Amino acid sequence: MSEEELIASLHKGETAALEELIRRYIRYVSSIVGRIVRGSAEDCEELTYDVFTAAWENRSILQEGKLKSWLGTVARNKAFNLLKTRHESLPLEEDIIVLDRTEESENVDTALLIEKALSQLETKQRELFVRHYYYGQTLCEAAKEMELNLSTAKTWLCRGREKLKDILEKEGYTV
Amino acid sequence: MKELKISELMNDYTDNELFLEGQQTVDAEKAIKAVTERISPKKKTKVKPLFKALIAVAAAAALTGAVSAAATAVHEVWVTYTVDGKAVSSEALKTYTFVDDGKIIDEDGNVLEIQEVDSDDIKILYDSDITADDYDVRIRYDGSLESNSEIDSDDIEIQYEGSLDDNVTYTVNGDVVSAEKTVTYNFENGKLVTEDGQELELKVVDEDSVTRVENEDGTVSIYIND
Repeated sequence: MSEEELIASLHKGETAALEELIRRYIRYVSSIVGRIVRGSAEDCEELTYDVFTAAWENRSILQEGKLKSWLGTVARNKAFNLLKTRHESLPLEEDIIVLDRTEESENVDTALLIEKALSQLETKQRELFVRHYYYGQTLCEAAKEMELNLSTAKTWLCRGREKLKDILEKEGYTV
Repeated sequence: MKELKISELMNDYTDNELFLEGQQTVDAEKAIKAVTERISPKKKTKVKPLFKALIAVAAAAALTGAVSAAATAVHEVWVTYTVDGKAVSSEALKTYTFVDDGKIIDEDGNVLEIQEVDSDDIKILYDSDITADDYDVRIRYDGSLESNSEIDSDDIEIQYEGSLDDNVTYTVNGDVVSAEKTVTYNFENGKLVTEDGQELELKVVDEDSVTRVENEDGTVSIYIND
């Protein structure tokens, strides 16, 4: 079943399509929540069920080409919200960028912007950036798992932020 | 000026490279069974409708109730919103008392001073991390702040950051369609965003335009009047 067919079936409310959706994306979704909640099997299961339940309840807004990213976003939000409610959220390094939005930046596709920034990083640097800003791993955790020393990790992360700022500026933002 | 969080920008990222290998996965068949059970139709409970719930586009409304007194004005901050025609409500967030000389007192008796302004005509009245409830509330007031004056709730803008978890009751035309369901909303840059990515607009509405009904289970339903 193609993604187009899968979404069409979901729009029709066919539960077989939901089953297919779960089989196809369960590894992706559970991996995201599993990494964010750091290995609690019960939390990982419940959150994964929550994501697919949300997908079913919101099936009318699912779009071809955006299905995986929608599931990823919902998985992240649910996992981070669980951590927040337990006061287990960890601060991220210089997460906030202050900028002015100009007229030409109004219609910028942020997915493309992120993709551009990350594509300019070497694989390991990209991995570090994703571990930290996407999965919420602390810099120490990420550096340890990637066998990097902390100062290298800080430098790499800073490089990632600079790339992002460069691209934001090119897209019409004033950083 | 706008603050952009890199971690929020990353919402649009898709991890196709799978920097995830070796991570935990959940059994697909078990998940199918669990999710299917969850989505199976539930029995509806009929309740006596007091007011017709607003059937509207996805929109959100934050409610402030303003009561003026001789020397103080008490603000009870509530949040009321509708999602796809379902009225969703939460309990009161916080009560503040506005007193002379531009200060406010919170429920715990703490005197909070007006903080730095970030524009000439907007004062931040309250900006605090309400850790007990796990969300931040920031109230901005762009009217005049004179002693003994009645504060017009239309002049108040409420911004939330963080998450808000509540047991809520959904009603459509007075019928309870789902009760005691926990939903989580994120408040980002003055926008209410559901976990499922729907962006809902926050709007201050007048207290007269809604009615609150306390439910037996302790939750409060807020109906938007016709």
